[in-house]
Amino acid sequence: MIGRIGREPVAAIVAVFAAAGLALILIYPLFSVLQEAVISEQGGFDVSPVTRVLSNPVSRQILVNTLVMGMLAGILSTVLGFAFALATARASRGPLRAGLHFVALLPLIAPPFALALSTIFLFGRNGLVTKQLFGLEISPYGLSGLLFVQTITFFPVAYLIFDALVRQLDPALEEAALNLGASRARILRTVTLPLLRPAFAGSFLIIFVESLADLANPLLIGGDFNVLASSVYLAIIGEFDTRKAVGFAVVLLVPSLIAFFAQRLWVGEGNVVTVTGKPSTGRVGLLEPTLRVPLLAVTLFVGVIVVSLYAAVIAGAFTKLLGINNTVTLDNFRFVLQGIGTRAMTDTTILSAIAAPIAGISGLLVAWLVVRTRIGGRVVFDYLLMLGAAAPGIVLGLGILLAFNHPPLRLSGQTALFGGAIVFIIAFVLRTAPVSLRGNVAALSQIDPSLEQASANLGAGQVTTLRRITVPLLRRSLLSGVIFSFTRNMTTLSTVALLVTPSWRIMTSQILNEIDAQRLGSGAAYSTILIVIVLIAIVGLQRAFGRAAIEVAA
Amino acid sequence: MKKLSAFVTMLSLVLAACGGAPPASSPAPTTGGGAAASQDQGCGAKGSGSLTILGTPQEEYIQGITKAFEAECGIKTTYVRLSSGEALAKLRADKASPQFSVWWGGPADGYIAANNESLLEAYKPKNFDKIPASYKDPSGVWTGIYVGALGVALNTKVLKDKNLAEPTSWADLAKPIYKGQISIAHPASSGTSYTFVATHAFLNNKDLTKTFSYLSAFHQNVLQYQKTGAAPARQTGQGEVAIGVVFSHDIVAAIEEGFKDLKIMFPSEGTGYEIGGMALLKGAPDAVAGKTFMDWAITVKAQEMGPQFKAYQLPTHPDAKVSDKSVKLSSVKTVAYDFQWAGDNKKTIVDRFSNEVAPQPR
Repeated sequence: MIGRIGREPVAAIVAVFAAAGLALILIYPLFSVLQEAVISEQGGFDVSPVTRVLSNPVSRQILVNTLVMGMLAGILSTVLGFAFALATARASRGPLRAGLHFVALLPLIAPPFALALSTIFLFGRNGLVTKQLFGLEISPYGLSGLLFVQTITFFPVAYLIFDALVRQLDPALEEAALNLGASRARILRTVTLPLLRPAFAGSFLIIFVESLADLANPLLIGGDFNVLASSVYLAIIGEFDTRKAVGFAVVLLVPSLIAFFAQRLWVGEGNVVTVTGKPSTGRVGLLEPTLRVPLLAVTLFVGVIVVSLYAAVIAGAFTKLLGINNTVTLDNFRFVLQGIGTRAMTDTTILSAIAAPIAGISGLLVAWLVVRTRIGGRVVFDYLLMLGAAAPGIVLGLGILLAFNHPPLRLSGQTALFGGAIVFIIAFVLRTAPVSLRGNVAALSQIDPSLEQASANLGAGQVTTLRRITVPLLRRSLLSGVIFSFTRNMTTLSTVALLVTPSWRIMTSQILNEIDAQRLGSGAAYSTILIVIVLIAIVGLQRAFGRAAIEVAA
Repeated sequence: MKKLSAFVTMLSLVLAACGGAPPASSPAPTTGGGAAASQDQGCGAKGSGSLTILGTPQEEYIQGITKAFEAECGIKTTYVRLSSGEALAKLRADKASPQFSVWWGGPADGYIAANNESLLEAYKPKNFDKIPASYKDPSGVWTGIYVGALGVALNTKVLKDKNLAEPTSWADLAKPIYKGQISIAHPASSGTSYTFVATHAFLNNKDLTKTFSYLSAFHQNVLQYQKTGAAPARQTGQGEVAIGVVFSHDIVAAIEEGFKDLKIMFPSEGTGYEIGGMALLKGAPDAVAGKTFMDWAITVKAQEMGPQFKAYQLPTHPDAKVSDKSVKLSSVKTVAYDFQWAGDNKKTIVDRFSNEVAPQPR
């Protein structure tokens, strides 16, 4: 061990820092949640917060609701994402393909609430489309509306998974089947789909976890359909009953972690069997019209819905009361910008911009530690850091609140250091460093270690090799990690919803206030501003650092 | 990609133009409150020169009031808005290290409940005796800053479209024909909604069995419990439901905002009302500045500012001018609202509502 540290001094230092950092900002908060759940106020062992959730019929229903929502959202989004991947790879060319690709990525930059808000504008009980155009009486409040919004929000995640794979599949296999006389539909069923089976499982599990963690949509459009994430939030905001909150949080944490790590274990990285690294020569043909036409019809229809939802947010922001009084006005923006909006914009942007490089670099360093060094227990770092992505945001937020709102480390609240700014940065880094980790692990695995070995053989130390060879090679994955972190920080609600103080205003939390008061126009104005900031960040960083940022940011 | 950046450029231009536009919606506070201004200016000692308020009324109102106070008295003032029940929960949680100096606005029931938990510090603001005895706690635990009656918002267009008769009483609101057509907040978070629940207790002579049997029938018609008391006014205006139970001044504000199909109804059995309270918090940071704020908040000038921020509650200071848009309490049939009883029983009643009524399937 000593000898190894002697050979890898930098790795040892990075490992020590990573261990200390993870213990402080990840393990301590999660431990605080568990502690609150099993230790009573008198200090005895008492798991009643958790058992109460499981035994009380009302909260048991909340658990069932949550699981039903997660599974259905997982299935619907996966199927739709696959349909889009198939449509762009095998059913369209040229501008049509580009258009479908664009709408499939568009929901990724939507702030929470934006799509649910426009769903109410367009498809609500007094919706512009359902009621005022077709005279239909549809209530979006409840499971069906929730699934609609979640499917639109999460199918791009499935699309990104399938898009890469469908295009990487070796056409030789399909050509062989074609030459043997199989129809394209038969090939799809017997060759393509089985090859993609792990991707289906992975996509379902990832979206299941995302759906469980969703806070904004259940609050706005869930109606009486209560779920665990919103129950945690309401237990704190409405009653400040921390034991009640941790009960829900622990019950929410278990299925999230199981699904997340099941996905990592079974599906893992680089699971596509036909990727050989050799250029394939075959050309993929388009599907037959019998498959292509319905596929295009469905995806185009969804595309139109996505675009109209965005249009409705913007229309809602620029009209007096969309659907009631459609006079064009800037009043909503005036209300937002003259109120807390300007503060919220600068505060959120500053905190997000501070956290983004921290998240990007920590992800890179841990990736390097895991892939390139021989430090003992390095895989543990990988799994621990991934907890930040696996645990629902509201649970992390609750943990941070419980851990840092009292001595010895009082970082949360207005009277804390920097008005409580540090807890936001902790929350942002925890949530987004895992994505940088995955991106950099993938990138590092593709870079031949011989380059670094050559550097070492020429006498360069670990620091020089890391600085001159490894980091420059990882420039792209580092940049995409930073961009992802920034956009995610700007648009996250669940992680920070419990942490807001008067000293730091967070835009998504202000949107929640507007929606709570049913000031839908101001909510739409906030959302529009947020979308613009995110777009400026993506486009600006892309201009500054080269292309391919929008895809990686997704 | 090009199109995208063009779109971004356009939007940012619009935003820039918008930011530079002159303020139209929230005019500056009127200067010089006539004769009254000379005698109660209100700005006393500054304390540490900064102040954090916990506010419960509409955000626009809190924001306007804190800005006006800051401009006039030179004390930097920030605020957090929480509904009445949330505010109480927050104060309870922060008891060991209080974050706020003053709680401003929201029904007095909440203040009485807070005082029962020793969260408030009695303080009689300057000119305390100007406020009528029925609008304050005699020892200055809380002081009334406004008054307003509970009302029912009706969306006449939705009712007509659905061929529903306009309800005229509380009894009507429990009839099955209005299923899924009522919006109200949850009494655990919202003081408005708790005022509604307590009103029914008073209509039933504090018989909780009768009260809860009404609430269970009423529950069958509720679409979804909101978090914030005033939200149902806008949700009704938006046409998502036909009926919203909410303070009448919030309905006036929603009509002002442009929800043109709204109309105010006061149930024939009689309705409840709120006294908006204000109190110094126990262990308050910046208590000196907090007291200065409280002195200022009951001045005629401060009390007359409401309508500028779409707050149409009635002022408690008898010299303050009443907006002609406000609903006068004398014009409405009210119940004998016992604030002490409502405050003392708040936790019991809210818990019972959360456990017995809200989870009932419908």
